[in-house]
Amino acid sequence: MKRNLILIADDQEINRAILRQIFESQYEILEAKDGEEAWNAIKKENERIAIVLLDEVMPKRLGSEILADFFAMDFAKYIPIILITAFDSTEIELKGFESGVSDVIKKPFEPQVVFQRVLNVIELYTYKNNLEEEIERKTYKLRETNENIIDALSTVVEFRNLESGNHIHRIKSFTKVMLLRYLERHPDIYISSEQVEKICNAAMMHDLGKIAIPDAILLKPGRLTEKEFDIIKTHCNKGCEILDKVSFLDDKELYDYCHDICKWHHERFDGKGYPDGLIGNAIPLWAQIVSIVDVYDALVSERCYKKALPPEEAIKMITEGQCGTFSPELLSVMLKAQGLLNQTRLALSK
Amino acid sequence: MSLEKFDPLKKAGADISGSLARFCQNEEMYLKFLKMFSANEEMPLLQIALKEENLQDIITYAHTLKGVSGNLGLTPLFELYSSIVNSGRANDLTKIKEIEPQLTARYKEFDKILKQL
Repeated sequence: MKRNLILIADDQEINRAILRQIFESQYEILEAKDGEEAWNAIKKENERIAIVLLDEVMPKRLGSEILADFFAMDFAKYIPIILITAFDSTEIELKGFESGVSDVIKKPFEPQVVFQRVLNVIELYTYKNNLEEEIERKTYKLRETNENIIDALSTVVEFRNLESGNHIHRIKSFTKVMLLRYLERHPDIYISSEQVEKICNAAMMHDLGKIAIPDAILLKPGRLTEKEFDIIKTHCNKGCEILDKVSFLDDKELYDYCHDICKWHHERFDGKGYPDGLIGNAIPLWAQIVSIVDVYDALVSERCYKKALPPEEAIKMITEGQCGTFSPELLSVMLKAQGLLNQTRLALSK
Repeated sequence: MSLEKFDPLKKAGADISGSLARFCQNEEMYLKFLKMFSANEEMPLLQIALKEENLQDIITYAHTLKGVSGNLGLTPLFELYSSIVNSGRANDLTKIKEIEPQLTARYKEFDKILKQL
């Protein structure tokens, strides 16, 4: 919506009238004759206000009080304020600027100067607001592009692995379930919702390196020899090598999550995993989570060489330590989340 | 409307041309607010505050009157209110008491002219 309203807040009618006359040919004018009216007008019309011309000393609420609320409520991001004052000390002027106003205008008004200053500030904010909207659009587009790339790459891996459909989407959803439950129990760890989304997308990339493993080994139906297994193990580092070449992942944070998950989703809490033998929480949380949900998904899914296990049994095997060692904290999160994991699985198999 | 109307004000030291510019040459509007000024509520309140030596109120009312008189181009009054505000902010009640009689006299003079407009 175009911002085409100037709010003039001053308790003296004459001051309002002069300002109104300066702007009324170009802007719609709203007048407030005390602090309370001014604040109500801001709350009601904040989407239409181009600028607030705020008198400092007003009955009911002082300009400074309004400023404090104004900045606390985020309006200041989109609406500039010019302070109007009859004080002529530099100290007062500086105090105004410190409180965040865009400009300070002194009485008596110099109409042309007031006009130009107000217009300059409005123009600046219009530009800034447009720029912010543009950045928001671009960021959204970038995120969408990144997600498409991840989706494409991980689908290739899934296809190549001849894995049952939806494995990567299940891993993504399980990761989210586990991560959110984990964060609920650890208010000391702050991961933003945007970061949660990135981690879940990165989880889809965990087996990226398998693209580089020869078919003869990757798809071998029988038991792997030790040498063959060593080659399989290289998929962790291979995944990172591929990531490094994917320069379009220019979101550093997303890259880092992908990197950690590709590289360390086969580490074990007791240090007996690969490729680096990291111990305990030296393994990033997101890699630990992908690791445990990868095992869970393998157990509850059917493979050519095995039947699907009932989820309760899978959870039992994992928590009893039959499928590797995991952090006790994650095991307890998994126990608590087992119902939700199963619901997620059923929803995705439809 | 003829500008001669404003001559007595001009003689008393008011800035007529600057004020008309401020009112975008709208003489009628300027006149309206000049008349409103002669009926303002703040001057009597300032006088009470001066009598009671209530510094906070003195600053508040003088500050309002300063803004309005400034916008109306009543320069001599604007300057006196200005001095009161500044002295008030410096907690200098003695200085304010010195200015008070000048203000009373000047205000009376302007009030008389304004009432005849």
